[in-house]
Amino acid sequence: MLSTRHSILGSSVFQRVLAASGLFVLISLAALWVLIWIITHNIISNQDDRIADMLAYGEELFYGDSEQALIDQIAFDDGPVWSSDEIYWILEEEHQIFTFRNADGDAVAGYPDLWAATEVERFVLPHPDIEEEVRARSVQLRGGGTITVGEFIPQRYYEAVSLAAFGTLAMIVIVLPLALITGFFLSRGVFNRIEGVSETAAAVARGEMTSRAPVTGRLDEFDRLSLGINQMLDRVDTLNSNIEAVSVGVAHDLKTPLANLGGRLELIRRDLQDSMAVSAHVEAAENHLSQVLRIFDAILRLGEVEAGGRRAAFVDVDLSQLVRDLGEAYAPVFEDADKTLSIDVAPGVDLRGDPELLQQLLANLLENALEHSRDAAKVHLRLVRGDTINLHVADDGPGIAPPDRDRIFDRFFRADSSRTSPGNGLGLSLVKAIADLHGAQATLDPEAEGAHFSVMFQQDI
Amino acid sequence: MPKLMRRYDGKPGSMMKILIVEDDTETADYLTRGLREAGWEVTWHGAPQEAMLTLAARSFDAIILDRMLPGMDGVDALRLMRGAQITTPVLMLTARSGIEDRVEGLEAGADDYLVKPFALSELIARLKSLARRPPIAVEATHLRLGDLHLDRIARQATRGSDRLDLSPLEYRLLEYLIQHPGQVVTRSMLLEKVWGYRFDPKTSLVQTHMSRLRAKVDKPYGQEMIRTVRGAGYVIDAP
Repeated sequence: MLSTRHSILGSSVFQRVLAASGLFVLISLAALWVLIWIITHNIISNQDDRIADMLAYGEELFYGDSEQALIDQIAFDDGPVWSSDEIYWILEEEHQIFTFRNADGDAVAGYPDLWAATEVERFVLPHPDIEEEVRARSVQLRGGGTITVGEFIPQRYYEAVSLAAFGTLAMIVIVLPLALITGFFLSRGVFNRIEGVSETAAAVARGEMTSRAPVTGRLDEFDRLSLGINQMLDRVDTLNSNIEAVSVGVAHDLKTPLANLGGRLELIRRDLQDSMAVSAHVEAAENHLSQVLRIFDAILRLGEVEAGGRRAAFVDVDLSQLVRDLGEAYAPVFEDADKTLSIDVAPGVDLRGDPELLQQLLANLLENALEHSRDAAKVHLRLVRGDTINLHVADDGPGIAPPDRDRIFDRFFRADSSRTSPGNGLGLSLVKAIADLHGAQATLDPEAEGAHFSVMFQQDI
Repeated sequence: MPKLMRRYDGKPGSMMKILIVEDDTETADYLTRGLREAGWEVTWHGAPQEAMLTLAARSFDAIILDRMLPGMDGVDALRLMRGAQITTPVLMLTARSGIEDRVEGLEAGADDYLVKPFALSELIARLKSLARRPPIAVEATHLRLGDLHLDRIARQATRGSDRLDLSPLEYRLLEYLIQHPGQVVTRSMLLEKVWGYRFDPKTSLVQTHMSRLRAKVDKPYGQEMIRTVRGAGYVIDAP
């Protein structure tokens, strides 16, 4: 579990969630700070504007009317100079604080403890009881006097600043850990699903070919991934077992003729003096060799047909003629084997195809019937045209055992597992490959008494 | 070996001149020896360019041309030869893979085609058939060999005064044989030329039909015209 958690923290989903959260926090903070800066700056510049207005008004009174007019404007009812109590009211009502000093620096009117330079400055207003910040500025009057105007910094300003501080803190203390937790659980969800697939892949790599990726049944993207991988594995499995069967088949089928060939060579060495015997051995050896070559030929042709390259060479084929000719060519061969071949061909059946391969398809079916039907069998060759074009080669028993039926078209499959009967188990796979090339279906009728093979072509119209 | 070769009708005096164009020395060696032992005169070249030079100076009865040659495709070499008005019959050799190859070779002007590996007897039979083909195909309406007679219009065969009751296929087999008197005709030649089949039947398709034909042509007359050449094919001769 520990290692899993380590892997989760190192997983790309987690790191991405973390990076995205970090970026989100940074952008939010930046937006907050910009907003707060705009608010506070606005408050302060409004304040400075009002202070400037009031100073200008004071100067106007002083120069336009008289010193006394200025003093009257500043003075409360109880006299021109303010007591510290008056500041409470100013603070409450958000009014401005004024001071008018004469050339000696004595406060003639207003709050005597307000001092300020000619540039706006911010400071705590000297007062016996309250400690509040003000912004204030003075102007120098002709004749040496000064007017000073101050304004308490409003509560709004402090609220805005503390909002910025709180927001920053909240982002760091709450949002970041929340993102971490979300990221962790999100990654764990994804991680566990992906891990299931990775484990399957690793298991297959170790050789456990039956291992399959887990499917939750939610049919989300992970299920689709798992299903895709499982399908791929199934296909690989099938191909693998095909290749295995083919390798074993090739090895087995080549071994016998090659061993016989070796045997003949040995006999030739023994009988070197007897030229009659040698020539008999040579002939037998040639037969074994041609058996080997025939197997290679069949494998290569099968490969060529399955690659599908020959479709380009399709021509119009008179299938009726082709079937009749082959049937007539093979009928005497059946007769010599004490079997009968009856031929029933619908006239005028044409299709597009490769005549050479179609001949091979039918010849393989006929040879299969010839070799594997019972003694004195009756074999029927029929070409029927209905909705589809159907070619049938059927014998009257004993048929093919049910467990073998599905595999009858597989390469190197032989119903005779001792592999002693003639043939190489490629004839029917070539039939199927040629049928596939022509978009036709080669089937074995499971209901029939004997072995009943059909090839169903689509009508071309 | 010479004893074996005598089967292939290597009569002295019928000295055929063969040009082999084949880059694989082992195959070339095997062919050269086999054909020389059959009493033929053999010239061998590994590259098509050299072969073209030789062809400009001398004439041959037949050319054996490999499909895969260094520097030049056999099909291209063949097109060059045909372009240079060299009409010598050409038998092409190919590795055992493409069926498409054959079509391409025949279109380029090859007269016959053989897939490696092949039996020497098969090659010799085919070369003889090629080299002795009349330059202009005269379609004779009557063919005669000994007391055997074929009327090609009525598609009727007679031996002596008897009409032979042949199936259409048996007639065509006999017609092909009688056009190649004294020559070995192999099973695969019959399959290709008479049936038009390019596959190799596992069963005794040719043998079955040939034995039926022989039962009708030879058996009642005691004098055999069609003989089996063991390991090679059939030959028809005047009795």
